Amino acid sequence: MNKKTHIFMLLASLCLFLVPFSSHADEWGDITIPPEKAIKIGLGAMLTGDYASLGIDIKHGAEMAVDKKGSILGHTVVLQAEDDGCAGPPSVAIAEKLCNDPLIVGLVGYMCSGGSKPASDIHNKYKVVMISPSSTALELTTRGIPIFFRTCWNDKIQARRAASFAHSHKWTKVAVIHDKSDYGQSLGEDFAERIRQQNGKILAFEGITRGDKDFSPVLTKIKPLNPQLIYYGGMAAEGVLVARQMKRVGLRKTHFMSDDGCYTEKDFIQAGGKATNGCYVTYARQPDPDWIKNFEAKYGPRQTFSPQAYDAANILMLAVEKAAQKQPDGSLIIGKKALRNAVADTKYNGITGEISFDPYGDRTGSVVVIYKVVEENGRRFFKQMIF
Amino acid sequence: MSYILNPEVIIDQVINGLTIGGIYALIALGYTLVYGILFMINFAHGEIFMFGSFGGFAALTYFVNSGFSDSHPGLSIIIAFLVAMIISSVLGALLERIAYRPLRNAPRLAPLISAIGASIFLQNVMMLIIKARMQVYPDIIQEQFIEIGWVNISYFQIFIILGSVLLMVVLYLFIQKTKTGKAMRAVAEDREAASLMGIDVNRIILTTFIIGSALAAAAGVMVGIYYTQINHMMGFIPGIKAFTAAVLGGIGNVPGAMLGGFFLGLAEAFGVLIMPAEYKDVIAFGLLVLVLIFRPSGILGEVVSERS
Repeated sequence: MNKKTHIFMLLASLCLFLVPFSSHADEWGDITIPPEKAIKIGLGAMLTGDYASLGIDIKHGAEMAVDKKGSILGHTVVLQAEDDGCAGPPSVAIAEKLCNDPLIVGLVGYMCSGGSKPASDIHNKYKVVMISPSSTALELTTRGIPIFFRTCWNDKIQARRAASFAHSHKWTKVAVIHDKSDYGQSLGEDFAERIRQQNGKILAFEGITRGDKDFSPVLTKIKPLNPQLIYYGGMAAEGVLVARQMKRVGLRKTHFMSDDGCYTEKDFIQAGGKATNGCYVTYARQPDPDWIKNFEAKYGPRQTFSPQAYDAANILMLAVEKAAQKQPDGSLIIGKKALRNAVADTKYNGITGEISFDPYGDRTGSVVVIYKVVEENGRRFFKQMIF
Repeated sequence: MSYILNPEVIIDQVINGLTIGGIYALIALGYTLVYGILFMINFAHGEIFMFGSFGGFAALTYFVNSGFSDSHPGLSIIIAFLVAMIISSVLGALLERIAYRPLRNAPRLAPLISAIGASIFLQNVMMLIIKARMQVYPDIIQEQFIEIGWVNISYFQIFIILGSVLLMVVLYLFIQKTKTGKAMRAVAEDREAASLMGIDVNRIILTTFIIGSALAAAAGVMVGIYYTQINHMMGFIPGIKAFTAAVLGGIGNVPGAMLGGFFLGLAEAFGVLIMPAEYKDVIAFGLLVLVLIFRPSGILGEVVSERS
């Protein structure tokens, strides 16, 4: 070994030491935000179509958080909202688009479980973190996807809560209708299973098609079985028609119960007319009333998941703040794994309550509450049931 | 499964089937009238139905906001029907003038493609107008029910069934008894000969489009009142199903379209009884396949002579 090789070896070993420090190499790679460029937060929700009022509500919630925050470490934050169509194919297309955008740090979304499930595989491929405000299907957190989190609850909790409410009212003869989606069907199955465990009887388990408007034939089929309760797993556009058409076919003594997809004043209470009085739905506890006041002053009546979206956006931005390293030239380097871990370690006091995540990405200690549509003093609204 | 033979379930299901069947039949008439004369499928017909529904929606919303509907609920619904029919008729006439007439002597594929293009165009126009949200028809009249023992019938269902039958009777009489109706039949039989007999073929074709569109508009308002939710995509599935009904009854045949509509509605309602409800659409399109295989001319259809 001559002297030259010695020096070379020395330099090489020095470099090996220096590399991790100089580029902050993250196991999953880095996101680099160049100086003077905005940090982009993605959002996937249904912005056109039958469930658009839910998706636009989510967008407003996230937008409010982003507007309030303004900037992170000298970089402005902007929200890039995309229409995920509440279904797999458009969600996957958006996932590919946003994950390949170098300025996107993470995403709030997707709105529906059927979209979140395939999209989370894409996000996992690129290791771009996503926090869904509204995808409740149990499967999403049981598949070992490390970058998926949610600020809502999962359907196991929701179905269990609904079933024990039914139990407390001694509703043992139950019919279940679902919309064949990842969300509605799995919720319906969970609910039916819990009812059976409580020695209740599932008289019928029927699927309907999203977008269909005519459910009288299936309700007429269920009617002679005389169920005490019809549980609907799905979204408000169809759920409200099931509730309406129950009255039409003569199922007037049968109770109607549904899920968070039907917790929307516009598409359920207003669209349903008096036929929805007395219907039950499950949803979270009410968010901070001051926040609601601010939100409604800006965007009008809130629907469903805007508080969860507001919290999701805040958690994401706080995690970016924590994981980002400011470079001398003003650019930001954000390690993807560091960002994911920052989200996973969240201890955040949000408007929907304390938020932290369990190792699977589910929110810990989420509580699902039963609401009933009531009419008091000429106003129709969701009233929280004491249960 | 014993409840299938329960007579009350059967009566209820017949009412359900006739209600949706009446709507299918009204839309199917538009397909069949146009096919009878031009031998082309007007695939934008579902969108004419959708525009009619939105026309009625606009009128009713206006009446609710102005308070007119509180004092005159019946009259505002009648006006809504008229507004819808006028909007759809104008649209149907424009469609014929702009999208189909220039292609009348072109190969048969050209007007078909033009129709599909018009359909996509109209959907998107409505999407831009209403911002792609679901709209909800106002409840002007509270739904009432007749209960006879266990059987439960809504006044809305009676109204739709009787209304659609009434419109069909009027149409039938119009085609059979009036001079214009006679001219329509003549043009359907032989366009050149009719034109030699001094019939203004263009005017008759335009009339046909207007009549078909007005019927679709009536169906659109009925759907709005009965199912309450409308959106810019609402014409697609009913359009395809009504097309199925028209083929089922024999496309080009007016009584066939009526029969096909009711038949399809009943088949869907009773299919749900024996099969899981998620197969409702399968029943409709399965029937279409079966008819096309075994009786392509339809239930009442005779073999339609090819255009020479």
